Amino acid sequence: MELLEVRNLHAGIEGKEILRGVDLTIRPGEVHAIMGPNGSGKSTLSGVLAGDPRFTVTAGSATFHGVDLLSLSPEDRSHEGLFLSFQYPVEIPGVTMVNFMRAAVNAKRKYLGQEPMSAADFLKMMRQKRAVVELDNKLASRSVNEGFSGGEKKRNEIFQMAVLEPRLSILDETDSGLDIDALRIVAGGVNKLKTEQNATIVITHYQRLLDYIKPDVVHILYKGRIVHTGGPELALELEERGYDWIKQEADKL
Amino acid sequence: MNAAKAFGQYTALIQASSGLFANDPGLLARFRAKALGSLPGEIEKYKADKSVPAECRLDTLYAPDYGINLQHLQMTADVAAAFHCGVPNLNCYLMVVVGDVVHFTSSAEKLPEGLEIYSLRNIPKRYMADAEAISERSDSLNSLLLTDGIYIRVNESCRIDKPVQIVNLFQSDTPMLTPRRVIIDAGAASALRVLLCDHSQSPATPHLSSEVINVRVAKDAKVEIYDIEESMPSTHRHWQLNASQDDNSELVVNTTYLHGGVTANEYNIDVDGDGCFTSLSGLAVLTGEQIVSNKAVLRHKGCHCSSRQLFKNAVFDKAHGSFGGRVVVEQSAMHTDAAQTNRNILASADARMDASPQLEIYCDEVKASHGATTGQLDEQALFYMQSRGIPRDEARRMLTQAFMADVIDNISYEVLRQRLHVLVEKRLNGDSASCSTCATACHSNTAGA
Amino acid sequence: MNETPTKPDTTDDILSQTTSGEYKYGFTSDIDTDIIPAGLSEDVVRLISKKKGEPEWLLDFRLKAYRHWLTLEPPTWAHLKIPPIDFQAISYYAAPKNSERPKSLDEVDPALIDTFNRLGIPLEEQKQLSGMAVDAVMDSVSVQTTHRERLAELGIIFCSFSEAVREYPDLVRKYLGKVVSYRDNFYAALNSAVFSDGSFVYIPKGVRCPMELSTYFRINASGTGQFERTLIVADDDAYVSYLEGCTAPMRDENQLHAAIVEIIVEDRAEVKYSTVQNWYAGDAEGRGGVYNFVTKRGLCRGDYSKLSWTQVETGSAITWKYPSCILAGQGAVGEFYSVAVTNKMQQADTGTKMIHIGSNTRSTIVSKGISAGNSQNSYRGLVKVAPQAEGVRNYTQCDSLLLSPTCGAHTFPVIEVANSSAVVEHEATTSKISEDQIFYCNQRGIPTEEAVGLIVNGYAKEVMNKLPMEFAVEAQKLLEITLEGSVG
Repeated sequence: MELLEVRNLHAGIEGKEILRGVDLTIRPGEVHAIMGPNGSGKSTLSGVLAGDPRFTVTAGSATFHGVDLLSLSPEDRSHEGLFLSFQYPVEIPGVTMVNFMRAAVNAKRKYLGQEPMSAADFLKMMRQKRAVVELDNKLASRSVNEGFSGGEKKRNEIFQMAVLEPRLSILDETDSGLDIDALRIVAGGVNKLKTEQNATIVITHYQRLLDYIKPDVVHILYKGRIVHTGGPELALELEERGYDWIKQEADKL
Repeated sequence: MNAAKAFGQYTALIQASSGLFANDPGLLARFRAKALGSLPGEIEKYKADKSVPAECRLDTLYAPDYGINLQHLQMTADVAAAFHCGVPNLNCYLMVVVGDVVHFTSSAEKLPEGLEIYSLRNIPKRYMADAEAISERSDSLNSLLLTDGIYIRVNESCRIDKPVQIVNLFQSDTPMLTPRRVIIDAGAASALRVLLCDHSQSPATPHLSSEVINVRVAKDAKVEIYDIEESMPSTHRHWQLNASQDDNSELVVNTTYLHGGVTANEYNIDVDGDGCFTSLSGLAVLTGEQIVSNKAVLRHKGCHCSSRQLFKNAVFDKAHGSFGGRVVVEQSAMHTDAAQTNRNILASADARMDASPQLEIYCDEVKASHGATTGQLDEQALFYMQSRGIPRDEARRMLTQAFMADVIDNISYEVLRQRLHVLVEKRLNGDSASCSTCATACHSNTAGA
Repeated sequence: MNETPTKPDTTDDILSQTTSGEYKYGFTSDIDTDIIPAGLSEDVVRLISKKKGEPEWLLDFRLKAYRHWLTLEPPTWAHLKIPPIDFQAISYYAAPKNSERPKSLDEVDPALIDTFNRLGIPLEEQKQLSGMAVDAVMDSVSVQTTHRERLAELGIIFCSFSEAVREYPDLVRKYLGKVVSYRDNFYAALNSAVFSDGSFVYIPKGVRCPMELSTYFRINASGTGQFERTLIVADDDAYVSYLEGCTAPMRDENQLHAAIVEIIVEDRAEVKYSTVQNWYAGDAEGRGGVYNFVTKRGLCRGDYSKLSWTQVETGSAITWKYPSCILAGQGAVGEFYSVAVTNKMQQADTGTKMIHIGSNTRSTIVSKGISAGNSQNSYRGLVKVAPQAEGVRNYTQCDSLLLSPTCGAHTFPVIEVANSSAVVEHEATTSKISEDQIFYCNQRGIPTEEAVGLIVNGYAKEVMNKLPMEFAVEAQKLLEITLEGSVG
């Protein structure tokens, strides 16, 4: 069965249409890259899939392993196994990482009809998962993302991904603002978490991240539509030729 | 009933009952005489007070026809005996005030060197002048009706670790007005912690708790006062703190409103000395039709003092919160550093919040600031939490608790700080006015959980 | 009454017209002799109305206001010490006393001339402003007459209030007292009973007024009060920028100025109202100066309407003034930008009210108070969000700067929110002028006095930037002059 099936998705913000008919199919075990020039709708697509209330879906469907994704609340989408690594992770003063993650883990367990995790088990798991992205122990006692550096925030996103073990992860511009070391750690974390059952969507503007996270399929999003789909070589071609030829090709249609 | 009539009835009652007070100690008689003189002038002020919600104005609060225990009868003393504090490991000198009658528990009978506690009914003659001087500025109605109260004295250079806890309990089938008074006299270089808890066990009985806390912080002394209100929707409360600070002293006042009906808290702090520090903070979680007003006047007279005010309200349902804070920096108060912050969350469509943060500054060597915001929880943070699988309601609760956290984190007294975090969490979880959240745990022992 | 006035082209023309014995604005033709004795009664109200040839409905309005005024007491809630005012000692018909007028510039207080010179006000204008010759007009002299034809082509009405009553009675009647009722407060009631004149502006649908409209108010005679009224109506999609300037000669006695400004803003219309207030502030001992007790309010009745108040307050012995916005239309916007400078014995209690009634209404308040000498300077504000107003936003910033150890700076905001979707923010700071900054300027060769002027202007820049260009320069100089000698 397909993991994610997006059909003719239209969506916008405050009456302005941004996605104008997106089609996308993702199977377990695959890594898809979605590239495109600024303003093409990449972040809107990730927001709409995760259920960001700022966006309104006007047409189309998204089926997530057989479930109607668009009818679910953001938290239920998470419980069903969708994870969004935010381009700008939100700072939540006063809520510690530990409390935050325990609430998230236990909400999911409750959704799945499982007992809450004991404090000891939970802390043990946190320790294990932190290792995936070499996240400092001290960050766990701090407020969510508050005072974190850019690199720490992105590592924290991947750490949460490790804890929640999603079926599908959407990495929205995870490479932006990262230096090469941080990029390597973040990408390493993503690769460690990759299995035959889960899938990843990497949203990025640049080829750079794709050197570390190898995509199976590359899509180019432009003016709210996927205008081009190819193999990993497409990303390299973009790196070389820029986006202009894609724009010209698409604008001709 | 209009204000003059409401106050007139108390004046008449006291005058008619003078025979009852024949054996009262001189201190109470002097309070009464002073109140009879000053009350008429104050009535007009009460009526004209537009700085608090109408429900919190004194003429409104005192208007209903309450019974008063003028004969100082002991009611249901077993309530005091049955009391166990819900703050775990709280090792304290415990006093219990049932209605308006003061009881000493065994822990308060043997006090350490330098700490003395008396009922105002048997305060030693040598301390009366001090007690009266500290009480100079007090709500006249409280003074008029007072038949008991507590005098706490810490002698020079005595630093008392264990807190003095005063638990106000109310249990009655008839509507009552209970005047309560605590006079705190902290000698030079002394240190004292006082924990005040208000509870009610009669959810259906209208009750007005009139409380006046008078505090003198002598030079180099440190006094911390923590107040927790966890009463009933039928409870109305007028709580007035009057404090003065001498050179290099420190005063910490914190109020936590968890439950109640209509609450009017007043803080009058005179920073007379140089080099003082004052921390004044409060939080309130309001639901249903609860109304809470916090009104503070902090007056800087001495030099090189700093003050911090922080008040937060989370207002749900049809509740109504109000904050009025005034910082006065007099011409003599050079190098004052005063900051005042008020933050509020309106969490329901019908919730209301008024704020009036005021600065009155007559001195140019000053750093003063205030900020007030009223708004909602951060939508982006809510979505972020939801996207991690946390249900929206829980995310809201967590964010509200986080919003309140810094008020509690200000509390240096660790046992209490931890307990308050738990109490606020439970309160936000909707374990409403039930015994399970009540720190008194008079009926069961679940509160320690 | 007499014929309509001719149209002079230059300021000089206006001057000579308005000061000549042959003054043509009918109601003041017999100006030199006809002075109403001091005192206020129903007969005086009738007399004023009769002299102005007013219709019955306007007399009724005045009488109702007068009768209501009798039931009121002067407000005492402000942070001001106002000496008792004998309302029976004031002449309510603004005619000057000839004998007291200086005959030439030489007789005018040199300090005042000095001020004018530094403000760059030309000589002829100085004559007009220094209380010498401008017997006739107490207000609304300006571009109005010079550009009248051009404005008329666009359908814009800009004339004196009296003229508007004669020429456009229906418009005046429709809007008079609709924003500031005569019942509003003590001084509004007084003004409504005895108002002398003022300005009337009507901008028709869809018209952007191509120039700034401006009025120079002044008080000339002693022993009189000034009670003018301004009414501005901006119809759908209209735009106007309106400037108001004030000056008064120096006198030992106190003079009362109790004005009303009413503004109505319809759908998508925008009104900018700018004031530079420089009434005489009294001397260093607090003798003399104007009591400036003014009620200014705008009703943003239309959806997406906008009203912006900008004020630079440097004058008056006592200022009591809260230009306000009632944001009734959906998405209406209210703004208040204020610089209030007090020196010597001046007292100011000023601020704004933003009443949010419509949904998605927004307001911004920026107030900069600067206190020097022995003055007292207060910001007082109300931000109110009605229960039905969804999605309201307000941001308020009140800063106070203290320049002397004996002055006072106070902030009294009130915030009332009855709708949970509102976001209301208030921030305020009070601090002394930075000695480091002054020293830095000194080190670079700038004398302290000039440095204070620089720093204060920088401090007030956010507000000054909102003023139209012509005013900004004048206002900047005013700040510096007001603060002269304030830092020792």
